[in-house]
Amino acid sequence: MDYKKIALEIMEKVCETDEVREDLDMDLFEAGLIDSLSSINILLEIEKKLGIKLQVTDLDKSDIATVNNFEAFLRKRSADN
Amino acid sequence: MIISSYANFFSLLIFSLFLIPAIVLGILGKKIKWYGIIISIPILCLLFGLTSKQMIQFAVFIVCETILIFSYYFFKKRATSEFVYYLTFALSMLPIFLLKMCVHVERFSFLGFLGVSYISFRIWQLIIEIHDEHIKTLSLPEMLYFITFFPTISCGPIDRFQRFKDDLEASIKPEEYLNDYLIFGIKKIFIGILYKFALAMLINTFVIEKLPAHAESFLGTLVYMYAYTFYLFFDFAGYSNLAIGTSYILGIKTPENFNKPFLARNMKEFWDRWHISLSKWFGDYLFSRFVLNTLRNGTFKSKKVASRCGYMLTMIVMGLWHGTYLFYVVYGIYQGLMLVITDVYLKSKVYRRFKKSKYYNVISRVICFQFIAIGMLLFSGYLFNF
Repeated sequence: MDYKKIALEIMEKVCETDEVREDLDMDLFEAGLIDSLSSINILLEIEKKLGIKLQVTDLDKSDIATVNNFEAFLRKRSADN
Repeated sequence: MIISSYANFFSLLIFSLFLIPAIVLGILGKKIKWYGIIISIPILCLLFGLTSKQMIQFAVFIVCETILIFSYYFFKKRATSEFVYYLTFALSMLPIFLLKMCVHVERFSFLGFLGVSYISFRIWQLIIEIHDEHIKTLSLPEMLYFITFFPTISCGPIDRFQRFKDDLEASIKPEEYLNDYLIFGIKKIFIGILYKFALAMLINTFVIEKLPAHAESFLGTLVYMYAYTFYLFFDFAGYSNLAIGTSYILGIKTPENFNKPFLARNMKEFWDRWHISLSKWFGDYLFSRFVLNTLRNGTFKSKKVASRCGYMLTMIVMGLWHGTYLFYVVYGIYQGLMLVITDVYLKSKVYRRFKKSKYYNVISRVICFQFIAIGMLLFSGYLFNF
C-alpha cells in the first residue's frame, strides 16, 4: 500500500491546502495548518481510507506534526492491525 | 474554592525535609522511584491525619478502586466486553458521585476527602487506557503511586500514566538532575510561594475580604469579579507551581497547568492556557471521544454540529465535576456557549481577515479577558446567595 500517498491525501484534505506537498518535513503545527482539533478529522480520514478505528489518545502530537511522521505512523498502525 | 494543600509554611517545611534524601539520590544519579513510593505512606498520613475520618474514607476508596482496576485489567487480558467496560467505569464513578451528592444532605456532610476529584481523573484514565490497550502491564506499587502521587494529590496537575511511568524508569544523569530537575524545581517552588503566599494572599486580604460576602451592588460585584479572577489565577497557578516543583525534585516531570491564560485572544485559546491538564483530559477522554463516536455511529452527520454539542456536554460535565451546585451548572453552560460562539467566530470572515493585525490582537485580548472574568465570577458562586 502506498502510505505516502495516503498520508498526503489525508493531510491535504484536513489542512485544506496542497502546501503540505511542498515539504514533507514541515512542522504543520508551526505552519498553523493543523491544531489539536485537527486530530479528530485525521482519525475520521484514517478510518475512511484504512478502516482502522482509532481514538485521539492513539495519536501523539509528533505523529501528525509532519507528513513524513504521519506516513510512519500509518505504516506502523496498519502493521499492528 | 480555596485550595488547601501547601496551605502554610509548616506543611512546606515538612515536605522539604522529606525531599532532602530524594535530592541526594538524584545528585548521586540513583533512581528516586522507590524512595518516592515509600515516603508516600508517611506523607499521606500527615496530609489526612492517621486516625481521621478522611483517612478511613481515603483508604477504603483506594482499596476498592484498586480492586476494581485490577479486576478489569485481568479481565481485559482474557476477554473484551463493552458491557464490562461500562460497568467498571460506572462503578469507579459511584464513590465520587455519592460524595458530591452528600454535601446536600446535612447528616452526611462530613463525608469527603482531600483530592477525591483529582484522584478520580487518574483512575478513569487508567480504566480507559486499559480498555484501549495502551496499558499492557500494570504493577501495583506504580499504579498506587500514580493515583496518590502526593505533590499533586489535592488539586493536580493531572498527569498521564504512561508519561508518569516513563519518568519513574528514566535514568537521570547527576548533572541533568541538578539543572533540569532540582534547580528548575526550586525555581518553580519560589514562583509558587510568590504567587500563592504573596500575590493571592494580598488580593484576598485587601480586596476580596473587604467586599460583602455576596453580590449587593453592581460596582462591588465588578470589583469582586476582577479581584477574584486574579486571585484564582495566582492561588491556583501558585499551587500548581509548588506541585510541579516538588514533582521535579522527585524526578517526575508533572505537566504544566497554566500558560499566561490572560493573554488568550479567544475562549478556545483560553482553555489551551488555563488549567491545561484538566482541559486536555476532557479534550482527550470526553470531547474527542464524544465527537468521534457520534459521527461514527451516525448520531450526527455534520462535524460542526457534533463538535458544538461536544463543547456543551464537556463544559457542563466539567462544571458538575467541580460540585453539584447550580452555579457550577450555570458556569458549565456559559463556558460551553462561549466555545460554540468562538467556533462560529473563528470561521467568520472578520476573524480571517484581521487575525494577523497587531491591533486586532490587542483588542481581542482585552475583550476576551472580560469574558474570562465573567466566567470566573459565575464560578466563584458570588452571584448566588444560598
